[in-house]
Amino acid sequence: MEGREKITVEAGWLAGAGGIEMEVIKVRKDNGTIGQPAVPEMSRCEVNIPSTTANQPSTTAGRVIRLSSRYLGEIEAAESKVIAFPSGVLGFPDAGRFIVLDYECDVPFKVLQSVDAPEPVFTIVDPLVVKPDYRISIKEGAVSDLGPPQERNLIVLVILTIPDDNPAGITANLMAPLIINTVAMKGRQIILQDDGLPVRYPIFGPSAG
Amino acid sequence: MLVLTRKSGERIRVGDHVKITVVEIRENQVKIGIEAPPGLAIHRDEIYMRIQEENRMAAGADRGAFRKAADMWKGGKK
Repeated sequence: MEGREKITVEAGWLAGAGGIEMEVIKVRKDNGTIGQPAVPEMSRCEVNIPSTTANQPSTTAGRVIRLSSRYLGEIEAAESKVIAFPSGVLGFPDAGRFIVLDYECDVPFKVLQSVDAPEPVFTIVDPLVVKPDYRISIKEGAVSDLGPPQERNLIVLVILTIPDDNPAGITANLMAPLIINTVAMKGRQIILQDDGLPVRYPIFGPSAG
Repeated sequence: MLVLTRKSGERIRVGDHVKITVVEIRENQVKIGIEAPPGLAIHRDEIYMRIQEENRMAAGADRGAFRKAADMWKGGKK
């Protein structure tokens, strides 16, 4: 975690551009930089439970919800893993609750599935898996609605775009990452519009597309 | 659309918490300062639209493409 270069978002997308002084967030010992690998509870791969076992008595604590996913079919998941997106994901303002589902343990791609409806569903990945030097820095105000600083463990994920006709041309949206507070289980998508980060970063290399 | 005429240095208030200042006017460009509560995301429209469009595309990938991409990763194309 130490020794990472700090890249600061200077201005623009956030209200601070107008001159409001904002505290730069400090996550762990990164001097305001975030972009560390997903915390263990998010990255630990667990097999999704098919809902055919729904009628069996549950041995684990907590409520279980049933979901229908375009990618994974009918499955069950623990309600405690639901993440609220109070302002939705851009383009989908009504999708306020999501859950991160594993696909297969040896694939880093995960599924960000809307809980309340089968759509939308996104493929997401830890950005450091596809771009090891990915670093971002955000202002406090960008994540203030995710919970107070002392109740925060922020992780960063990025959305993948998979062209239907050419899966090799898969790209990661590095400009608009998802920030999730795993303590409050709240998330939002932010836009880093002045960092020159690409909306379409080809994860298999530029020639694969 | 509400249209207001403002001179350089003049301001507009939107509600109680948003203040917009015309900072500088040049021939074909206006510099605008915005003061707003933290947490209120402010974007250039073309970038906002671009991300919306990308999200819609990302959400539209079919199951087959998703599986192929995952298989490709496992196949060590990275």
